Amino acid sequence: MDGPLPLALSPAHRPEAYAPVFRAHGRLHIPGILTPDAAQGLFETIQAAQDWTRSIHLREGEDVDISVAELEQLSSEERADLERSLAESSTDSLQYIFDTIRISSEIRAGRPVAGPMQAVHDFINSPALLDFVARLTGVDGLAFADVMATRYLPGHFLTAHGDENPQERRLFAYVLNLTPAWRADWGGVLMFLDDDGHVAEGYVPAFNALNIFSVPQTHAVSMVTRLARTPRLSITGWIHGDV
Amino acid sequence: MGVGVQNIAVRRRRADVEHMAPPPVPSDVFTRDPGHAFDTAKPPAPWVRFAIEALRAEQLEPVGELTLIRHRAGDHGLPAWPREAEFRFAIDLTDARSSVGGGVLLFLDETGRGSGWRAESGAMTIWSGADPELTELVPGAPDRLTLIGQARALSPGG
Repeated sequence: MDGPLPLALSPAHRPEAYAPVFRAHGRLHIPGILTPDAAQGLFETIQAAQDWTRSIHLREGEDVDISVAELEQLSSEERADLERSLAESSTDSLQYIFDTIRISSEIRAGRPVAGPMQAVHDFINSPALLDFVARLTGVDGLAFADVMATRYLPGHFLTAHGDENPQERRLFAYVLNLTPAWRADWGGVLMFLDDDGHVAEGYVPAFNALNIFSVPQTHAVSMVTRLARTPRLSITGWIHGDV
Repeated sequence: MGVGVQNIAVRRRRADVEHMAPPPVPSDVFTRDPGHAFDTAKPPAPWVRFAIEALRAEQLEPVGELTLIRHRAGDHGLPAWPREAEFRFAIDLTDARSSVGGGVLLFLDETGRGSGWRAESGAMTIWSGADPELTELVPGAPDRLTLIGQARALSPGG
């Protein structure tokens, strides 16, 4: 997508009205978070992105990011063997495999990112959006947001974890789903797990819906099934407090 | 819980199932119908008796035949039965360590939000309204065995 993204929150939302629900449950699902033009533009941007890396978790603090373009040079058998060996070598209870563009990490490292990705990062970190989150959560002093694009293909998943990171002050996690039409039987459900491992609440990906929840909170993304006819696309990350 | 879905899940049957100790279901009793992503079989008589007792404890009785379903890795879904009774039920006969392995009975509302249960041997889930999703079992997940059927309220004095 060329030119600036028309990114804007829908004016229909009243975050103060949602605040009691968020306080009570620690999570919220907000449909239609962006204006229709913004949501469509953001979807087209993420869908057209080329610089995906396949991210596989090995152990705490160690993730393998492999360029999807490089992976595609391998045969399907070689690629499956590599991904399986990496996933099976994981020594952590947390496991995941999905595609990502780590927008904020690239910017922090001083590496150039595509203009639309920079625009996404700037929008998520804009005063308008951080103020929206502050009014929604009742928490002031939000410092910045991490931003990454994620793409889940069939077989991709994220096992249960709580998002804690002692080196950072993650207050909230967010997932902005961008796939226009998704079916429940395609998997990719954001699941909040109770102490018995049951699904206390699950959100099927919905186009232009923001899921936001307090950290820590045990959650997972169920495996995307072979039935899925399109990738599960999202913008996701954490909102940090002042250290 | 979703609109039109009433779940009165009960999970009190684990001990009863263990004490009953029915023989393992031979794998060759299962068949797979075209279009289904799971195997089905006629349940052994001890399981049927157990289901009847479990339903009676909830003031329900079965309607029609019960079916034993086996989901293996990659399988998902429940049969699309013609509705013959107000309630449907599922009794888990196997355990899953986590919802992440799939095989979750996931009750969703029309907006795609809901809740669900991983497999717990002996747990009985009863619902009316829309059927839940039974999510796909991931590679490496153990088989999920489930006894399913339909039920109605016990008639007074029945």
